[in-house]
Amino acid sequence: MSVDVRARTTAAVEKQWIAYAVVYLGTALWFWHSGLVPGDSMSRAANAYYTLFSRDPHLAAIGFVWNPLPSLILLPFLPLRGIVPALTQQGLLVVLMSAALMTATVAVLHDVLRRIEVPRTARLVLTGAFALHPMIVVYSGNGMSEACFLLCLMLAVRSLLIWISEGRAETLVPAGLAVGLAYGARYEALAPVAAVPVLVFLTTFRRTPGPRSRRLALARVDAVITALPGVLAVALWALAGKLIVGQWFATFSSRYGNAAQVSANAGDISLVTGDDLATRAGYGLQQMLGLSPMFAVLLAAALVLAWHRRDPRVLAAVTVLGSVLAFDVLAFLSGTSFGWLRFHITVIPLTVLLAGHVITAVRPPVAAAARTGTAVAALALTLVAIPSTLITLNRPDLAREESEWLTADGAARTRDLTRVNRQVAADLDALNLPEGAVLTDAAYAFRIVLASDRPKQFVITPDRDFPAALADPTGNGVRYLLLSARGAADAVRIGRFGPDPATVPTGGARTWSDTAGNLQWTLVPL
Amino acid sequence: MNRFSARTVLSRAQRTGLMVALVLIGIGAILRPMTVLQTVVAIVTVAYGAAIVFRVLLVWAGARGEHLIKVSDADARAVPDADLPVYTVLVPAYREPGVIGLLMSHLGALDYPKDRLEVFLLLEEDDRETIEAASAVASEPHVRILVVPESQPKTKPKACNVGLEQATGEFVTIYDAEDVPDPLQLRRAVVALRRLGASYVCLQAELGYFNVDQNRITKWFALEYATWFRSLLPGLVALRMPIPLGGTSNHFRARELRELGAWDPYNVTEDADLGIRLARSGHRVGVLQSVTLEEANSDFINWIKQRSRWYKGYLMTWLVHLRSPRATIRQLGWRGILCLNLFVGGTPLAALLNAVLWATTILWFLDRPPIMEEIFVPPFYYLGVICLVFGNATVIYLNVLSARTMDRPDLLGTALLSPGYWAMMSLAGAKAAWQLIFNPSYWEKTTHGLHLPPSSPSSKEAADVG
Amino acid sequence: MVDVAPARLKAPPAVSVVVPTRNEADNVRPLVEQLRDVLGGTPSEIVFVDDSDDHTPRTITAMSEQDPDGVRLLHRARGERTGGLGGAVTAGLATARAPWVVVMDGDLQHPPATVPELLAAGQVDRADAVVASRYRTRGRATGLSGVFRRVVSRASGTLARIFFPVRLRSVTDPMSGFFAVRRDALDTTALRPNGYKILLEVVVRGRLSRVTEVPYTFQPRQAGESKASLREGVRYLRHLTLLRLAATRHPATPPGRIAGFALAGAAGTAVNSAALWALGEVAGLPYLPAAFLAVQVAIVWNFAVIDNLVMPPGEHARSRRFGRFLLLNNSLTPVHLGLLYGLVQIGGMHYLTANVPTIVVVFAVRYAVTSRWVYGTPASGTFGTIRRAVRTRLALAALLTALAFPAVVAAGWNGLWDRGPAVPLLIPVAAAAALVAGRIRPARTDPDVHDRQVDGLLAAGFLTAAGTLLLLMPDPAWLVPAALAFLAGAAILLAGTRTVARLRWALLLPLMTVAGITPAVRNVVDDGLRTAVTLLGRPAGPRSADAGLVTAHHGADLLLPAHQLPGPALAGGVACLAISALVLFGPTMRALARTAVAAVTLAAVTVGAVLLVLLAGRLLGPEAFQVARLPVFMDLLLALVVVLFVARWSPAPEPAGPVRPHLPRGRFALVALVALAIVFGLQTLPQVEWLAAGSVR
Repeated sequence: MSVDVRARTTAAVEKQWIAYAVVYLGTALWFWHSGLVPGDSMSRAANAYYTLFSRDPHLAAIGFVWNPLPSLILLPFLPLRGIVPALTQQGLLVVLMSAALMTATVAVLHDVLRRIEVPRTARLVLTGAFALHPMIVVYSGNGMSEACFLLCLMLAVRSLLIWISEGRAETLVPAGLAVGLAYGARYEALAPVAAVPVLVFLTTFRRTPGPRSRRLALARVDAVITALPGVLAVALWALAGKLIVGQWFATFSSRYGNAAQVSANAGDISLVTGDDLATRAGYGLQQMLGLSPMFAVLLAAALVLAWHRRDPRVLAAVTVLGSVLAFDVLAFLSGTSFGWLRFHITVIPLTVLLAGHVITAVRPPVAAAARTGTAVAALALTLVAIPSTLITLNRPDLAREESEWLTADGAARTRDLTRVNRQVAADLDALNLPEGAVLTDAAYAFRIVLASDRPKQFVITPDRDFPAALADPTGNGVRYLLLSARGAADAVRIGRFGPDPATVPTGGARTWSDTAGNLQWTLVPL
Repeated sequence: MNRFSARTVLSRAQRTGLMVALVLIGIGAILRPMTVLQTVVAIVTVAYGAAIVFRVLLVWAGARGEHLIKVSDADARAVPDADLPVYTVLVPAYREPGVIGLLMSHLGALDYPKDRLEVFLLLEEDDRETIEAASAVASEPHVRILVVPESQPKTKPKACNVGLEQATGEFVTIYDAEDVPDPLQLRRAVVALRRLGASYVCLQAELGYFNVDQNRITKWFALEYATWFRSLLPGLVALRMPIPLGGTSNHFRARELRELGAWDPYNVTEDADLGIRLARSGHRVGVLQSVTLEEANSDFINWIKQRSRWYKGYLMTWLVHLRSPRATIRQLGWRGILCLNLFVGGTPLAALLNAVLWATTILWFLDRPPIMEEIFVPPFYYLGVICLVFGNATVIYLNVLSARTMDRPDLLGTALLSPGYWAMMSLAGAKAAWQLIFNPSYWEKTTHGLHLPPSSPSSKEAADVG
Repeated sequence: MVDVAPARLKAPPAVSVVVPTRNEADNVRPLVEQLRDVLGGTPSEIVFVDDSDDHTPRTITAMSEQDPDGVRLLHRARGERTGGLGGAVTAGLATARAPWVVVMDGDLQHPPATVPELLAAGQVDRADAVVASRYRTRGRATGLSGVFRRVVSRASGTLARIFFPVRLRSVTDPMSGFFAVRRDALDTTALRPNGYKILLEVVVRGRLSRVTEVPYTFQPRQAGESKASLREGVRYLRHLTLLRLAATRHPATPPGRIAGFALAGAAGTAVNSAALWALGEVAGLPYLPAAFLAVQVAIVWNFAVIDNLVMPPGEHARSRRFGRFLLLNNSLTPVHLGLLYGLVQIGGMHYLTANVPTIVVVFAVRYAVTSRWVYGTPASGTFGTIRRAVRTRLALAALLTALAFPAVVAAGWNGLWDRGPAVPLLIPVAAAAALVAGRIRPARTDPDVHDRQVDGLLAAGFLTAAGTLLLLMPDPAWLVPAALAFLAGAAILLAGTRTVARLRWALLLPLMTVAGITPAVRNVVDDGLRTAVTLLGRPAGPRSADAGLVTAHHGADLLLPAHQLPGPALAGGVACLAISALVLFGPTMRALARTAVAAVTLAAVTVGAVLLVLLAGRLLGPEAFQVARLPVFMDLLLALVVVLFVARWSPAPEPAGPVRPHLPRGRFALVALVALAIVFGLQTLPQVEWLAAGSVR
């Protein structure tokens, strides 16, 4: 968060910024209170939790399936668990954090609009159109990593914009750092890590005077300044993964990683999204247009006007946010992604910024009436996204994840799951087991480990002696095996009883099922 | 003589303190070796972390706002000759018969009325060839050859002190024999010093090189100096910290310089030491935007000799000014102490420790000895890893940035290869530490004229073997 | 023996030009005029040594009357023309008065314009002789009419350089008849001229040490016929062999002298053992008196050999020298006998076998005392000069490394008898040695800046690296890097950082054995070899089976197994050549072209060697085949070829330039290194296993 954002925010925006902060806080509390905190958020909170409070606390417990930043941010606040246990046990901390990050994203977006000289009223409306967009509101409250990712991307857009308008090489440093940070949040940041240096190279090459060799050398240095942090982040994360987990890119290659999970439940994904290219493209288009129906129109208008006025500033937003969008679409079309609605979330800030660029592009030499006309049109095209998103969110086939929280039966299911997990944790605590008594796969039992008052009773996958305990549980003081019923890659169940869940012995074992009666957890005594 | 002379490297108090410390560490090492090692590692990693944060802070502070004192050509030339004060230029030289010839052509280019200019060539008594070469060249009236009588320590500061006694000028500056100063530098210094008022006693002009593209070492040298004069020095000025001066092109008010006792003849980096003493006496130092070109060292061994002299000087200055901590804190304030420890003392120590830490890292990857896991206690282990990875990456990143800001994009490769330069620095650091103990005031002579074509006999004068 | 025209004393000439002429009357005048305007102001004299039968002497005397001091005639009648052209030049040298004498032909094939260059080079490089060379880079031999003449001239030049590799190393055109020599550096009485190869005579017999060269273009013949013919060729060969024998007698350089003494010692040992055997076994004397008598026989034999061939005739007369020699050796006899007794009684060895080590031990003492006391040359002096040369110090460093890493030496040794998968150590080490030999002298642009502390620190770094690698990393792959680190550290301590920095690429060559040749490369090379061998041995030659190459001897099949094929050796050799070319010529097309040529030659030699081995098997039967297919022969051959190429590529060493190679004080360093080497050596010696020579798995 660069210093001058706070300094230069004007009084009017101050009130608006607080308003959005309150809205997001409310959403976060609603998610927490109604027990709807999604599994991914709880898992990221659990990753942070393991590094300090698990049986074998060490930094590498942060896990290499996801990029570390969203968990690392939580670390300083984990000790507050002593005061308010709900912070970690029920995931309150992770939702509050995403609310704060989304508020910061709104502030940065507003600053970007101010820097491209969007008139005040249009600026406030556009900021509102972004801040109150249903998808943004939902993802400000559910603790997912989107908030952190969007903040980093917006910081990158802002620095790139400053560099394009001022041209001083020093301003490339924050751009490079922001892109590097974005990779810390999500692996989709690989796209801007590659795209932004190319933009910088071409811009410098095109606009510096002098002989060709000098322009080439300057362009190369600028590209290296922009690319170095991003490349370093990718290399270091891969090296750390190789050293500790033995795989260069655990996100893709490990058993819990993307590819494995996608292929594991490829069946029901293609059922919904269609398995051939055409239907899949149609599904993706529906999702994107649902979130921002007029995105294509605004994109075309902004690019034409920019070309007409020879003003490259629009490229900042298009390169950073556009590259992430393109990466997700390609991943989805090539069948290696789940196709969640949230993978298109970057289209929302992109549309708002494109509208801003369209409004600024129409300047005084153009008649005042035409100017206000285009401004109103642009604002209308942006605001239409809000109702269309509301409709999309209510269609479970398009918003599969969101329907688990927003639709009545989906919410009930999630609430029920949360209740079951808390119940298991309570029952295990009641047994008053010694340290390292229960062996379980943290990839599925993270809610239970979080909810439990005695986290040290669990032997979990990040522990350094987990493989030994899995090989010889009794020898390592393990008394029970906690097995998830439907975990596709549950290391403990598969390790002990083979891939078919049916082989798990139910005799003498304690089981927990949800209200609908299907089995969730089994506790097998040794 | 001033109390802070490097005649004795360690004052009695420091010596006893050192003895006591060594004894304690000795006992500790015998009783509980592990805790001693862990504390040492902890201190080193914290110091490294602090040094890196300090450097980033300097670069960030330097980049925000203008801290270079600019005097335009027009203002410099506007001052009529009558108003210009008498200016003394001291040129110490030792065994430089070849380079002296070039000197008169470079200093001749100085745009300053000859009747108000006083150039002293300070030559050692036993250096016959240079004296003959100089006398053949020094034809103009305002150039005088001062032969410094033979006495120990035979160092550059002692020669400058001898020159200062004869100087009659209101302002004084120093140039090396091979320097090519910006012709208007003297005029700019006069205008700047008059404009800034009495609190500014010294101006440090920027140093650059005329043989940058000779080989990889000169490119590293140029990159390092550009980073020093364009981002670190302005950072020190922005944070109002003491400025360790450069070897040449620093312009003084003669009267205040004499009051301060001029240069310490026993300190081989007399300029850094003087910078600290200027800060202690409350005077301020400015950075003048005017470039003096000098010869970058192009030979590996020659470079090690020069750099080890500088590091030895920095260590001497650091020890000398820690002699009475209370007085130093009172005079320099916490900023001065921070700069003294992290910069003046830190640079050579970091260079020295780099080698040790890299060796342990390689040993760790080679053989993963279990004892190292005990030595590196987790929190400091992570701090160490962060310093190793992000610290080095940050410095390389800043080098690339300064290659861009000094408008020399062709130095990109050099900036990315900086670790090679650090290895040379750690070798120089080791040599400096060795000499600090056994031979503190020895002046490790650098051979000049290596940029000249080899056939000319001038570059072949015998350099005294170390 | 010759009549000398009267010469009046004028200002002593600075230059004498000796011109041997035979029937070249109309060349004389243009030659004198050209020499006049070329030499300009310098006082000079031209001495014509005339062996002609036509009117040449008349034209010379006519010129001589005009300028009595400038031109002198030395006519040799028909009977007195001893030594041919060489004899004429020697006579001219004897009568020349100036400090510098230029020798050139009278037929204007040698351009007088080059004379000032010769004299200037003589001054600048403070040389004893300056040769005008047709084969130095700029010079060309266009003057030699016809390709045959040029080939003959070039071949004879190379032949001379093979006979005298050390003394003629900086002379690229030993056949040149156009050179300048410093009078007082040359003892004309020692010369034994015959035929037209006078330069060889001057350089070899005159024992000139500092010879430099100046390139020039050999002009086409203006008049007069050339003298070269087949008879002259035979005479030249005889002259070369005579010179070679003379040069080996009384070697001037200390190492030569030690080698001579050692050879004489070895011969002496044989005589001693033979005498002991005769007296002990045949005559039945008890071994102690037999040994005493055998020693006396050996002493007489040794004196005869040493006095005539090895030691320079000191100031003492021969008889006195023999007396001292006899006295000295007999003073050592009790030591000899005592040692022999000890070995026989305590060591339990047979007295004949015990005799040999005894002689060797006594030899060192005998050499030091003999050379100092009998022949007056200070023994420590010789050792001092040995210690000072950079090349010797590098050899010392290599020796210490071998001492410290017996495992590496064992790997090298075993590799000779049983070919392993990697490149045999012999080839890169040989290439490295050749590369080092060419680059020891500092380049002119090297600044003469050295620092002992930097040497110490760098060496400490390398030695600790070697130590940690040796002790911490048991994996044999780390042995060669550790050995190279130790070698680098030792070389820096003994020869200084700058020299080692110049030789760094040579140091890295042996790493090739560790980097190893990936099986893919090895298979490709082996298959190539097989196809080439089977192709060339077409009619009845070997056939390629999957187990290896098979040839038949009287019906029985002899198999050269696949893992014994010199594939890796060839690949390693080519890699060495490529790297050496890169180092010597830089990344230029020229380097690529030369590497290609060298690689093709190397491959051809390998195929030839394999064919030879198989042929030996076919003709001489299985036992000879077993011996012939030992890798040692092929590796040695390949190594030799690589060394030849690298030596040819190395630039001819410039004369001793102003920059003397820097030699740091090494005494303390040497002691420390030896101690360290012994510690390392003992560390790994127990686990080293040596293959018995000749045993093949």
